[in-house]
Amino acid sequence: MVPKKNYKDKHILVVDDSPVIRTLIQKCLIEEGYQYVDIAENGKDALQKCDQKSYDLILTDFDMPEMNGEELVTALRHRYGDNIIIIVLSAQASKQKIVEMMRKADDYIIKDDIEIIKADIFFVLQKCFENHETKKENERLLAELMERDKHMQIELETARALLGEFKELHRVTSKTFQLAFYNTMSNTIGGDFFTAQRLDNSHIGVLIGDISGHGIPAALLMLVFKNAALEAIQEGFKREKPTASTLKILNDRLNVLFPETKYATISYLILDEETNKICYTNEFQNPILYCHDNTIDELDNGKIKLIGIYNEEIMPPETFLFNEDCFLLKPGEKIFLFTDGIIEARNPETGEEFGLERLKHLLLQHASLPLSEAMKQTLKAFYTFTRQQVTDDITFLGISTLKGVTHE
Amino acid sequence: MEINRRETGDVVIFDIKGEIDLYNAPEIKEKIKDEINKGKVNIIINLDKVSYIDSSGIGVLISSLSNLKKVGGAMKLINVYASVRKVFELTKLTSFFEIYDSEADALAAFK
Repeated sequence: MVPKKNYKDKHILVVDDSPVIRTLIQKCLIEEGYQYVDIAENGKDALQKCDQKSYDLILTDFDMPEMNGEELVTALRHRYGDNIIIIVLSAQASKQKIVEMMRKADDYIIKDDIEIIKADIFFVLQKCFENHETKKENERLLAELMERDKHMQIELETARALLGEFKELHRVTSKTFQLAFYNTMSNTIGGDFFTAQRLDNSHIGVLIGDISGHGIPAALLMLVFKNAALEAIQEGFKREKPTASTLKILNDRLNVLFPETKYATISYLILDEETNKICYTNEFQNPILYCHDNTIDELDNGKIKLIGIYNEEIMPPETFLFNEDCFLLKPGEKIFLFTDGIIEARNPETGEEFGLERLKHLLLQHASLPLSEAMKQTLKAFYTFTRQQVTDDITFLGISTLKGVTHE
Repeated sequence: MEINRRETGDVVIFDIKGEIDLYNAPEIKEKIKDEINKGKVNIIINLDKVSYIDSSGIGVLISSLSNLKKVGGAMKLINVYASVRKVFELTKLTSFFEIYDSEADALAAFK
């Protein structure tokens, strides 16, 4: 059992028009060990004493001449708010009176006879001091929490802005391909990322993915990932099967750089502007959707899916070979890449998941529209389905060719 | 999440109940580390009562498997159902983990 806290050093003022009662209560409290107990004969006298000295607790009678207990309680609350504890002593024990007293005072003691006062007073004082201390502590903790939350929001905003730099496509322009993207971030920082990098005069690398975890840890990993990915993209392009090589390089780097439980899932594509050829390695949790000839195919040649976590204890180095496949993107055809935020979002009323099949159906339905319009219409349907109550990050990328410049 | 520990011979079985996520996944890793320190390197993870596993949970299972393999041990998973199995399939974990339908099968595989 937790020992009772000692409040004997608190300053107490006893207010009662009866000299016998106020002196008796003062004596009782001093005998109990309370060190600072003063007395006042009515409300007016009490307020004057409060002007001269700071009290922690006022124990006041209800019926008094000059200024009664009720008026005193009102004046004290007006002056000190809930920073002072008020206990009312009253001979009137009607329910109505108790309710009235409890609206403003912290507690009450029925003043039937002196023995009852003696019996109640120590218990009530101890309880009031404890409650007051708990309340003040809660207020302090709440204020501290709000301050921390404010700081956390500022830090999250900063982290979000840093990550935003990694979600830019507009710096890369192409005469052959059209790239469109949509990205929104949830309240917490998710691990979605995407980038497009020009590799040479005729090649563009497009990378989309997700890092495990969310919040500040994901933001920190993202910065590590960003450097590793940008280097791997340039280095992998010089090798055979460049998309597979890029992911091999990235896997090996992340295996060293990431904490042992963290990984990324990534889809990497290289767009050849001379030939319209797209090569890809899809180690992402979702397939690439290839929209052509009134149909939609799921392109997924992934082998390990989790990049940066497997070491040689689990997977021998010779099996770290990624697939690379290529196809020609013809005029009118489109490919789409997307993160889980889209297909895992739910209708808030039915709980039904948006799902991959619904996404495919919508993309096919809008296949004849220009790329941006097809994505816009699909997103419109998505937000109608989810009633705009989306909690996850959403990343949606589309690629098409610009008609008339294709070389087959 | 609750973790219950049992032993059958030299195999330690962890029955996990609830959801495995960012906030509690490290607990599983710590428990397996403790077993390795005690020389218990054959572990079965029973996912029968696990309704959800997130990327942190997946990460912890893989890194624990790696830690066990480093000391010549092994980890086998049992009762991988529904949404958890779906995550395992999507992330190709079914190729890297030994998954059994029953505890008896997993125990027999240790012999």
